[in-house]
Amino acid sequence: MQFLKTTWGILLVPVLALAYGGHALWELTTGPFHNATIIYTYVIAIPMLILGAIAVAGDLRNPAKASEPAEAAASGDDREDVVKGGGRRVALVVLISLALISVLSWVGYLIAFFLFVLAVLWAVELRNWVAGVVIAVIMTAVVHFIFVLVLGQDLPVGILTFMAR
Amino acid sequence: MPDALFEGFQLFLSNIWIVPLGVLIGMFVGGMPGLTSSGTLAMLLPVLLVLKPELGLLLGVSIYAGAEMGNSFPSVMLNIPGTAGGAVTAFDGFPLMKQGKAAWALGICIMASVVGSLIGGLASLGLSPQIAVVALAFGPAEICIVILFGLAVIAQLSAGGLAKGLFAGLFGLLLATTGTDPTFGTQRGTFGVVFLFDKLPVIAVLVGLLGFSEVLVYVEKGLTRLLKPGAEIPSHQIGLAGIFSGMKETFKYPWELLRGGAIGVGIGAMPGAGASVATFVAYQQAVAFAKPERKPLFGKGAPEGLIAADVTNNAVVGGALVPLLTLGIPGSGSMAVLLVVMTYHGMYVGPRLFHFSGEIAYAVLISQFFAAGCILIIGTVLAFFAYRVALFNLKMMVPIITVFCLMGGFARNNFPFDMGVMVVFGCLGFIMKRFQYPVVAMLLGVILGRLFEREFMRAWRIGLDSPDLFFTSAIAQILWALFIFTFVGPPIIRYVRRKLKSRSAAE
Repeated sequence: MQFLKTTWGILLVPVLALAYGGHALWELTTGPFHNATIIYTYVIAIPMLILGAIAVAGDLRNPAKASEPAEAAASGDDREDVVKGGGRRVALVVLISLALISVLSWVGYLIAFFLFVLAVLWAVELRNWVAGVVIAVIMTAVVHFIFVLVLGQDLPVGILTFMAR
Repeated sequence: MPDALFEGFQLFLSNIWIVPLGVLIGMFVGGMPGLTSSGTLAMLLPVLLVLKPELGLLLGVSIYAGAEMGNSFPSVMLNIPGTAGGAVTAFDGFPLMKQGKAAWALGICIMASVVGSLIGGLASLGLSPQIAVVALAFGPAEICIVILFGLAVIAQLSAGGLAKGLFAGLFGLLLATTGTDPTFGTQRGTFGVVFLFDKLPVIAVLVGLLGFSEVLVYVEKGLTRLLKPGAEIPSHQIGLAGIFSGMKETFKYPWELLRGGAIGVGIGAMPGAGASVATFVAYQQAVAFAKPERKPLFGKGAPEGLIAADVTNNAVVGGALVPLLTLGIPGSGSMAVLLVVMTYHGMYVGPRLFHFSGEIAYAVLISQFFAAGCILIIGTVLAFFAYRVALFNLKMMVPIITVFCLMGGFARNNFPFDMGVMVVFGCLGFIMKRFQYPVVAMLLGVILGRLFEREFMRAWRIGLDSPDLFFTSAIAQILWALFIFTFVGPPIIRYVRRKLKSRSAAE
């Protein structure tokens, strides 16, 4: 995750807050908002932006300290068995999750979750495929049992239309 | 009263079988991310209405009590709180799990929940009328200050400093404005997305910020096990011995138990506040009253923090029963469902409930003590199996936890969009952790934002479009004084201590 060690990485969270806060303030000028709503938004957004600026200024003064993972900084959790290539793995898991969400309605939860588990195991570099298939089958069954049979959730069945209730 | 109490006890004994069933259902519900006790009670409403009123109410209260304990399991084991009230349990529970002390932590959770249920039961049985009067004195302005108070203290615990903590909390409050304005009905921050027209899906945000972000942290590290290689766990902290040792540990902190119980009962009795506010306030108080050498341990596995969260969670149940049974005002969503059950059966709802249906009211209050016993037994059995999650291969756990995170996001509204929200907030949480922005402060803002805004608007309107109400009442002034003290108090105390130390050194 080299990007997160740069100045742009430091600015990521404050810029998101700035964008959202700016949008919230701009939006107040566009619609028929009640006076109390406008005041409430100002009461929250303005101090947030000021505090964000203070936080960024502090981080830019000492970038090395700013990008130190909070968990490690706080707890001294400096493990030696950390494996390189973390950024790629994180990106893959996020992308696979987003892919699952986008195809879930179309493919259906049984196929989607089965493939999802296999794909994530591949992304985290677990190459025992027998174990992978077993976990994928069990997880799909668990989702079906708990969420569909017990809790009566309406999960998308997708192409497996015979499963529609 | 003694007659009604005795009749209530008899009524409870004849329906005692429903309590363990309710606690078991509640623990299951509380343990499932995305499922809340109020949501489940709402789903079970047709069943609750068909049952006799005393059975329906006993079942409802038992489910509520079980859920408040059950939410500790995923909080400790997976850092995925089952409900908003369980979020605080994860602060210290999950670090303990990573240290291999999951069984010990779960033992603490179980015993603290049992004590919380007992305190809630005692308080609601003995002090109902008095508590109701005090709780009603907390108006919208006071509730707003309580929320700000909690936010300020959580921000002070931030490893990245106060500015980042407050920034994250306010960002959370602002994010919570997404959707329809709870007072005036106008839409904000939806970007035209129909799924956001109601509000930001809070459970999806919660699961993302705490659970999925943690998964990403471990994916990045590529670890095989949660425990450090070669880490030795004392034998008394695993298995049944660990659970019982945790239970014994709980009694080493009597003040945390009493304080958390009192906060749970008090805030539970405030209409609209609920377990999420109570646990944050109790945690903040546990930090404030902790010895200086213990303070750095909070957030890294301090048993005091875990006790404060869990005792409060369950004491809230007793507290929430007070306004329901004495005034007919539901203190939480779960209590609102029980109110429906009461009105459906034609029970008198309000101050004269104890006069007209005293035996049912007392049966419900007495059932909390038996529910505490059920929590102890059922919780211990579940914990015996649950702590073993710490020993699994982490790479195999990643897809399993991620599936539960995704389903946690999905379960509330049945929208795949909410899964996307979960992933987005998981990424945000991952980045925030990297740059030492406290995700917990943001979480508090998002969870309590709607309540904060609603109460802010009410106070503003009651004050005739002015902020007067926030400063005029005596309670508000005391709360503001405490709020300011959370900022100026610690530096002053540190200065005085330094002075005293240097003076004694000079002598």
